[in-house]
Amino acid sequence: MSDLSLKGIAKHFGDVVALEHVDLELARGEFTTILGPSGSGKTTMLRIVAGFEHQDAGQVLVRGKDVTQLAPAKRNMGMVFQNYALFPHMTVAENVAFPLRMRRTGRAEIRERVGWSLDTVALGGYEERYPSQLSGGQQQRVALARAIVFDPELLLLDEPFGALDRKLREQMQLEVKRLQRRLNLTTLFVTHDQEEALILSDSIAVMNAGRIEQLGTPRAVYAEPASRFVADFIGESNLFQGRVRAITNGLLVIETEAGHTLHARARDGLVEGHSVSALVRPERPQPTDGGLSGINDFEGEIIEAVYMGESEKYRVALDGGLEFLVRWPGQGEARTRSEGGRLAFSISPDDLHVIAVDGSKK
Amino acid sequence: MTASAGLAASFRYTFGRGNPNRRQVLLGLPTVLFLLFLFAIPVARFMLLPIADGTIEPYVKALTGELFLLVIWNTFKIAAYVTLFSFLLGYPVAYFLTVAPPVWRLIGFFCVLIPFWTSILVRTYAWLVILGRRGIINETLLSAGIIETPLAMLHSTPAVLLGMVHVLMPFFIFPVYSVMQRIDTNLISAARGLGAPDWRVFLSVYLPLTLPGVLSGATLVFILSMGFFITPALLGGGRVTMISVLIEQYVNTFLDWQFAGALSAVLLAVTLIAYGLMKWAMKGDKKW
Repeated sequence: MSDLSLKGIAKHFGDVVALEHVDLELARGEFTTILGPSGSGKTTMLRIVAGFEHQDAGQVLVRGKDVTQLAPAKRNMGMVFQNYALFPHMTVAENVAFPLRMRRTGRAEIRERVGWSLDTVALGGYEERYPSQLSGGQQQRVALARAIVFDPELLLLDEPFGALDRKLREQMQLEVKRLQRRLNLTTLFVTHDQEEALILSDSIAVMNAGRIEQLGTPRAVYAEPASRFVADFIGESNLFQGRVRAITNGLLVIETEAGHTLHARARDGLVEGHSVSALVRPERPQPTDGGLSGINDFEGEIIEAVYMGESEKYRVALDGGLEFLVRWPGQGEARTRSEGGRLAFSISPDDLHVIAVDGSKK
Repeated sequence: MTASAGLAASFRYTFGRGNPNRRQVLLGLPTVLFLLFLFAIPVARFMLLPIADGTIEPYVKALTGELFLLVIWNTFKIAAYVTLFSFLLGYPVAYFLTVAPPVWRLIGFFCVLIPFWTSILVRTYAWLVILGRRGIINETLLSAGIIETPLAMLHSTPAVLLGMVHVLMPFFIFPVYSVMQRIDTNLISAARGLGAPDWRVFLSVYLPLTLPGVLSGATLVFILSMGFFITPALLGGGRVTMISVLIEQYVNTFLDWQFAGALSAVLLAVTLIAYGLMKWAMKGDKKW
């Protein structure tokens, strides 16, 4: 039995469709991320799960029990808000005790649970502080402690890392992940940050325009996106538009609109004549000495080179006019590739992911 | 944001870098001089009249005379009631203005502001017209045959309270509204999500968060009530005596300026004490 299942959730605000028909299942202890751009319906979905919004159609089931008619207060879900939503007039201890007090937990047990929960987020000793006296990271921990202290059936996270600076964000992400694993918390996480989603999730639901475009492991949504939208939204991508010209030796031969010929590993359901998008992640191409003898060999002029420390990014104008993005590990001074220079690379047929374009079947 | 930053920059440009505190003092100087010579000194002289005449007897009389203590107590009581009713009636109005859709908010503000912009005298006379012996209410009830003789509604404490609450409520609504507006709605969602039923959300989260606004609104209303004159004078008609009415009588009727000064000093002292207490009560929010 799933800990959370959404069945056919639909919601519109006036004429605007926020959610079309969303199904989602979360197993016990699973960390699922709803990833999407703003306006994709991800926040609406979380608010419906929490009970702050009411869906027009569909059901929300928690551990098999329909909670659709339950008020948020009765749903037993711990939520961490984007700006933490700590009660400014209460101390840390009072904040964390709040959900327990609402449940009429005994005084001694409250003290014990609050202590446990603050220890869990490494904030023991901060009981008497007020939220305004804490740093952003500490406030986040309090919010987390408050969300887990009453042993919720579900943990809901609404872009909780957005306000933190990069270093702290990465640290908090890993801490949340460890905590979630240790307590085996079924977690629904909403973010627009694809990197965050890849780091944290067991599975990612990529949302676009009120629908889940793809549900899969981080690896699957990154390496094998189901649609152009997913390919574009997650990570950086090179997308070629083209048509399958032939299938030979288990390889698709794709003729691109720009006149290149690509070879990709054949996939079920793709036959001659289908229009496709071919995706290559920028780190996949391998450098070559030049020459266009093999399959998927390319050469072009570097029109932009960006050094990013651990990696270097090149925008390459391929012979034939197409722009291509390449990202390779950062090189030492001696092996600098600079703008105006030539770059040659080859792409293995396994590194080309072929997406059937809408209208033709996969 | 950029506009105010630009303004600040131009101020820095105009006034140079010097000690900002001294510069700011300079900017406030005209107002300070104006208040000092045209307000503070005359008022101080008025209140110190007995001292200037070499006696403290009027102060003693004002603080010990049974009648005067009664009037001070009465004034205090009326001010407290006005404050209480402003809270009970004004708080929901402020909340309505906070959550109402834009059109209703506009209408609501209009309803609060229009009386606010109307002269107190006009509004008080309007109550005379409504509540009077031959006023709207009595005429209606009489012609409907519900009552035989006109009700005596004027010249009573309830009439004074009604008029004062009406006049002073905006002073309560605005500070509370400005605080309510800044409350993060996520806090309310958070409280509900953490298991609080609506009444607990209100008592444990919303009300405490609006408390700074409530206290500053209440302070304003209370202090203004303590020294209120026109409304108690007209609607109380001599039967409801507040201290300012008494002071006016000593100035205009008895021509005893010494004692009027002493009573004013007492009024100021009582008001300052009340203000001090409220400040002290507000100290709590320093923490957050």
